[in-house]
Formats: sequence, C-alpha cells, structure tokens
Amino acid sequence: MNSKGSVDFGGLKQVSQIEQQAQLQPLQAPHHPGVFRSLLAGAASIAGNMFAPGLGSAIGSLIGGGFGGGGGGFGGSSAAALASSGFASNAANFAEAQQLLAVARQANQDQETIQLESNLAKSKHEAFMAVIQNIGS
Amino acid sequence: MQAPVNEVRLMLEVGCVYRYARRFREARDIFQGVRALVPTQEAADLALAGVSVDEGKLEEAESHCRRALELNRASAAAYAQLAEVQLLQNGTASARQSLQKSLELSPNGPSASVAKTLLMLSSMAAPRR
Repeated sequence: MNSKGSVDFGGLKQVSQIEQQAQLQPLQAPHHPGVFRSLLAGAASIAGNMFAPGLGSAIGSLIGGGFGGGGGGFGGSSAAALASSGFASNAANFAEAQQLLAVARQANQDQETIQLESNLAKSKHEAFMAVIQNIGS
Repeated sequence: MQAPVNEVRLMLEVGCVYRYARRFREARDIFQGVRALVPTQEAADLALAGVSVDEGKLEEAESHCRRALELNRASAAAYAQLAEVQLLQNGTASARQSLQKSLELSPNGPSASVAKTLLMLSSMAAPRR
C-alpha cells in the first residue's frame, strides 16, 4: 500500500498505464487528410482558381489541411492571413478584370461602328456611281 | 443642245472627288454646272444633296432630294439619300418609309445596300419600348 492508500501491485500498474495509452493513442494521433479530402481540396483549388485566381488555392489548402488541425485550417492564424490575402488579391484581380473587360467591350463597339460607317460610305459611293452610269442610257 | 454623256459623267466624278476632299465649294460649282447641262437628270441634284449633307445643311439637302425625286420618281438612290437626311433630322418613321420605298424600287442594287444599312441604323436609333 502506498501513501495515497491504494495498493501498488508493482509492475501491474505500469502494464495498465501502457494499455491505457495504447487505447488513447489512436484518438490522439495527428489527423492526416484522407484521399477523398485531398481530391476535394484539389478540385476546390482548381475550380476556385478558374473563377477567382488566388482564392482557389487558399480554399484548397484549407480543405486539404483540415479544419481543426493545429496551425492549419480555420483555427490557425496563418490560415486566416492566407484567406484574407487571398480575398484581397481576388478583389483586386476582379476589379482589374472588370476594367479590362470594359475596355475590350468599348474597343469592340468602336470597331463595329467604324466598320459600319466604312461599309455605308462605300455603298453610298457605289450607288452614286451607278446613278452616273445610268446617265444617257 | 445635247450635252456629251461621257463629259457629264466625268464632271460628276470630279465633283465627287472634290466632295470627298471636303472642297465643297468646287464640288457644288461642278454639280450645278452638270444640272445646267442635263436638267432632266436627277444625278446632279442627288450629288448636291450629298454635298449639303456633308455641310450639315439638312433642309437644303432635303429640297435637293425632293427635286431629284420629281425628276425621277423611280430613283432608289434618291429615296435612300432622302432617308439619310430624314434620319439626321430625327425623322425615323419617315426615313423608314423612304428606305422601304428605295428597297421596293431596287431590292438588289447598290442603293439597296445603303438602304439596308440605314434601316439597321434606324432600328438602332428607334426608342425602346
């Protein structure tokens, strides 16, 4: 019997502690992402990058890294920074893309107008030349 | 006196060159000379209408077109020119009528191309409901 009043059976206690640890170990093992999650992360990354460059990679790494792991996922400060930087770069990219789209649209419209005016001037000239040719006939 | 046709044609072409070079006074003088030489042909009035349009004198252009149509009621080019003037005067409905008339008279000729383009423009200019 020891000082706490419990009976110490020597090596038996050590064995039970080892068993306890062995039972707990699978529960406490570091969580590695499964195959499905890896695939999901890859798909999310690709799809996200298609629509919002930068954001897709951030989402992919978040999904791939897990949601509850220490240092990774939503709980980590680095993930938050990554996400915020991803959102910021995404917003900047979106604004730039919108501007480029507007410029391209305007250029296209101008080109169509010039083409229309050019065709009209050519047709008017041809029509008048036909009138000239009809003189005396 | 019968005016030589080839010279009249040449004068009209030279007048066109002046008009395209935006030398409207010279172009107008030439076309008025042609009108004096061949007063029964609508070509000179049509050309004068074009000069007036370029100068922004739309009422004058319209009167030239009307005169050209008096000389030749079957001139598809005159209707097309009148339609252009009416479009510039914001008379979309009357312009469309003139263009329809032009296309009826000449559905496939060179003036038909002008009429079709102007019809497209008039539909673009028409107010949306």
